[in-house]
Amino acid sequence: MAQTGPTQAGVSGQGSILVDALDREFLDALGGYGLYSYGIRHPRIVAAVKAQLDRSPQYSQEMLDPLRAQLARVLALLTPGKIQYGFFANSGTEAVEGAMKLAKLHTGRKGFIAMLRAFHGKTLGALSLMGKKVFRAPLLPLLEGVRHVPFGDAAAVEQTLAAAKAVGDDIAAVVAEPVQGEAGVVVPPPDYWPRLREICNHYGVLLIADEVQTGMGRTGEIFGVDHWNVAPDIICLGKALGGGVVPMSAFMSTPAIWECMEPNPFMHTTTTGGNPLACAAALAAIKVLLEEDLAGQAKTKGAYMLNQLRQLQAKYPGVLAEVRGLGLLIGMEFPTDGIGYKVAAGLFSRGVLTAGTLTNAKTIRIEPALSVPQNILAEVLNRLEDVLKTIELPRRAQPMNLYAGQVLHVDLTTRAIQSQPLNLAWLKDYIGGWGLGVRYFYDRVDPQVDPLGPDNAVVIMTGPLCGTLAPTASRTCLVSKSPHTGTIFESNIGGAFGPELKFAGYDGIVVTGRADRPVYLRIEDDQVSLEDAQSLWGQGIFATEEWLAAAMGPGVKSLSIGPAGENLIPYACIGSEAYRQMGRGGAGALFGSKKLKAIACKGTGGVQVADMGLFWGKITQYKESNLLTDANLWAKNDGTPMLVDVTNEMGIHPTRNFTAGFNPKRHALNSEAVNAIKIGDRACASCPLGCGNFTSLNGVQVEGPEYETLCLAGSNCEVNDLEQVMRFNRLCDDLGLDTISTGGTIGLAMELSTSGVHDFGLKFGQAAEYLAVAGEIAGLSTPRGRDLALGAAKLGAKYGAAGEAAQAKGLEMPAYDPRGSYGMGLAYATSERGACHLRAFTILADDPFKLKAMARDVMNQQNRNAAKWSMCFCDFWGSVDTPMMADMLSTGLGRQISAEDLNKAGERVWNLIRLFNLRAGFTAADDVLPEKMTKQALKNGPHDGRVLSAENLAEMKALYYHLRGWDADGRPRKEKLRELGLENLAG
Amino acid sequence: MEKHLLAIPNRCTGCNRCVYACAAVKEGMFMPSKARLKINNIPHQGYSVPSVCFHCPKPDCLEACPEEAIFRNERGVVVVDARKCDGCGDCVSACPYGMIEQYGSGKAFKCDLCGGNPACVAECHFGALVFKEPDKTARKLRGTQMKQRITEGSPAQKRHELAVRIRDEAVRIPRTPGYMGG
Repeated sequence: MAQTGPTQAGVSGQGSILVDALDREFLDALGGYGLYSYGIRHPRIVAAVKAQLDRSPQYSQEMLDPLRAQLARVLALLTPGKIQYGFFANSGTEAVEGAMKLAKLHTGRKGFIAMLRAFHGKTLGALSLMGKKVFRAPLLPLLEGVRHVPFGDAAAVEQTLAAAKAVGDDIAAVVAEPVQGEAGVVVPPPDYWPRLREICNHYGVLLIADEVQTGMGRTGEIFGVDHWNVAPDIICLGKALGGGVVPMSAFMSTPAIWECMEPNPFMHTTTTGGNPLACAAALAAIKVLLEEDLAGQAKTKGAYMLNQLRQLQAKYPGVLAEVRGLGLLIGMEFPTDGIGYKVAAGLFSRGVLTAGTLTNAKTIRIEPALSVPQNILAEVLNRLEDVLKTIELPRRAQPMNLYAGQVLHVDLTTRAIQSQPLNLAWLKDYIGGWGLGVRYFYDRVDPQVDPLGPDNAVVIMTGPLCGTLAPTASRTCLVSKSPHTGTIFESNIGGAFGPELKFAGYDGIVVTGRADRPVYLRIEDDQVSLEDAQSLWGQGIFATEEWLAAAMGPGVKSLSIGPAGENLIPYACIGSEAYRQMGRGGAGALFGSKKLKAIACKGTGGVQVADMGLFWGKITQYKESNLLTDANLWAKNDGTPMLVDVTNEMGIHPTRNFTAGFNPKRHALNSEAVNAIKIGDRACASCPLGCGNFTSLNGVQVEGPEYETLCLAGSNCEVNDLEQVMRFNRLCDDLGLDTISTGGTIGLAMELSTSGVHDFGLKFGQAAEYLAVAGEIAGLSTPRGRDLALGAAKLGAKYGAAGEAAQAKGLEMPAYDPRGSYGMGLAYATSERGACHLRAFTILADDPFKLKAMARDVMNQQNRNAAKWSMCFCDFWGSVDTPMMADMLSTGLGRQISAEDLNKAGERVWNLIRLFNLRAGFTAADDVLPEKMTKQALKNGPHDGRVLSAENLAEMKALYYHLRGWDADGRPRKEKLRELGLENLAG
Repeated sequence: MEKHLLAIPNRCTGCNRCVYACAAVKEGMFMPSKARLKINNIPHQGYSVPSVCFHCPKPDCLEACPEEAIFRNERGVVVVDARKCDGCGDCVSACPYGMIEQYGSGKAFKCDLCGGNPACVAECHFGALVFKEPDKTARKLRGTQMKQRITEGSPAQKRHELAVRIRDEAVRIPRTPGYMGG
């Protein structure tokens, strides 16, 4: 039922105050769905029933019962028109059943006309009259000959009667509620009931008024039809008839109609209906009704409430959409189901009981006792206004181009969830994705924060072109402080989570705090909640996604963690769509530290652009003329495995824990090998390249392996066996481990075992142990698993072999050996998150050893990529430049953003993250490479014997700092900060 | 013979460009929930199935409509007359493929083949959507998909169920060149 609280749990109460099973007091504005018209436990009604209980609780069916006769007589006096005879039953739906039988018997016809959205009860006969599919459809066929017409439309009734008559399929009766209750309190036009009466007379059809909810004073007259002075042929009563003490109902009619019952009075009987307790209750109730003038009270108080509610409507127009009602049967309508639910929940938490309706979820009913004291009504209105104040107006009052315009702020500690407008002042300078993520993060977090503490924030941010046809531009960035490196870091992911978040109405999410037990964040448009995830804790990412799809329906998009994230492994990743990751820097451990198992999202909104024709034309032009050309088609044709041959040829392919730059057994892992077992192409949202290779070999299936995995988990561990690398890949994806860091750390452990430093039971080329140790790392389940979970830098340091670890700032190196490409060395050393190939990528330079050129290339590429990741383009649209990106952005926004703006934004990001790291305690001394690179010579391949000496690195670094406008210690100079508008953020 | 919009699931990468294009044409914004075709992604098993309206020979939606708001136009395309639609939703329950849905207002919407030049096909770079007169292979493929009639659940659940049922058709080797040539 569409109720908001345990109304049925009320254990006591009096008048308009209800006390529930937990002893909480509620103001009763629900009135037991119309049951408590006299208040809860009216003393006189209770006393009458108690007295009757002592006399005779039930009667003998063979004897005359004077109570029943007395009640029938009283009701006959009250009911309109010639209604005289009646039949007592126990519930409203029984009254309707009886009325239908009576109409059929009297007329000898089978059909009924009922109203759309009508509610008459749920037993099979009454259900046939129901005007809502959800309750009817599963139980069809119901009674034949029932037609439905819109409520309030007398002409529709007339047309249907005429049509039925014309085809000889005649109608016994027209059935309607005087005011539709469950439909959301719908009051018909004033001439409706008089016209129904005329029409029924004209066609010789009976008119049945279902007064179960409207009767006994509820609408301000004793019966609803009294408002229009209409006398129905049959009237149904229930709910309040029993005084709110005993179940009781009745259907009543005129002597002429009742005649049809006389030949066989046993056509309709009941054992318990009209029992003495019920009759005593009803008689006492009617006495109260008349003596306390409850109908009159309902009229006055109803008018007061409607007037007050209309004032609230004027005050909160976006929240309270409509108010309607008659007497004390009042409906408030809200613009959306979501708002209606929030108001009902808000009232409940403030101790006010109200009810939704069965056939309309946007409406809340106010149906208090007719004798409700004025001060209680005033207090209900007070608390209602208090709730209305807290409801946020519908989002996107000002629709934006490209951006959704809202950022979701979630505090896991207090469980507060707020949707706040996007900070427009930051857009031009920080664009979206990485840039905007950094700006939000910088604003929020002290650089000294403990990465795994509740004060660290996780900022997830989409880009402006996310969720559009702009190709490859739907990646999603995460910015936070890394538990692996202690630096600020960014990690991004493809797939379709970002677009889904945007369609739900949010550009990004800022998560802070720590939940006290595992939760997941559930986003369905403007319904956002934290839900229990205890049962998911310990599950892998694949099972988690399956569970979320079952819970939220197919098509849900999520970011989730596996056991590695839960166990705070510093290089745990976040997974999405099974095989995609925010891989580097330990984002998974951040979720784990916050007890956040997943963020799951479904969105039904859209992204708008300034001019669809212009935008689509522009996108298509760049797609055809630039994206789908030779510069990028490697991604469509082969994907990243093609880099296996390329890097081997260059001699920078990390092999045997970065001892060699060439793997003689590369053919087991190269693009040809992967293509041979590929069974499908996979793509991220809106990407026409589809670089993902879905592979299948000997029963192992995975999307991948990508180049980095093939190298770090293949060549670097000398596991030159595609099937085993696929197993490892799948395992890491499910456990939530970054394959680069995991492969790099295992490679180091293999070297340390081989060189006799410490035996981890891991040997180059031995796949079984290498597969086993992945689970041991994620689960911290063995001593060596706990050792390797430290990551390469700390593992090396622990065993006195720090120099053997291929890492920078603690992040394991990706699959390009800097000794064969000096620019990569500078890129790794100066990257904000440690060794990373996505900041600058110089392997294709004409002369990769020319120090000056490399310093400049690295800086330019870092700035360009910072702009590109702020736009959330994919790395694999390699030929997209800032003029193109600016053109697409400007066309979508409908205002001009220049290439220079984007270039500056990129440089600004790079300086701001530098400021963060400086404030976090990092210095130029951290922009270095390990001895493995600076002292040990690379083996094999074209660069056999080469090192990247510390001197060479220092020379590049000095030049790089200078070019950046930083001082010799790598601190941005004041002029640079001023130029970029960062002078107030230096701290 | 009339042209059919045909989905070839084993070529689909799950990129959703067709869906974005459809919504852009029909709604003027990138709003996949209102697109007239949908993509069912089953990422864990590595396949995707486009859901398209078959413009059935005996359309369940058309037969279910009490207002006669759904009709077959002169091109043989099954379309909705929004003026007549009263939002009862009977067509939505009736379609066994989940290919007709309702706006918030209740009005039904469905694929109309863009008047004979479907925007989705132009955005599919892997040939998973084709618009052509069907040959024997195409008829067989369409038949396999149409044979799956799902009467329970929301449109999204019906589409997903169909995608699950035709997995063997959707995952096959080789997926890229060679089959039906676009």
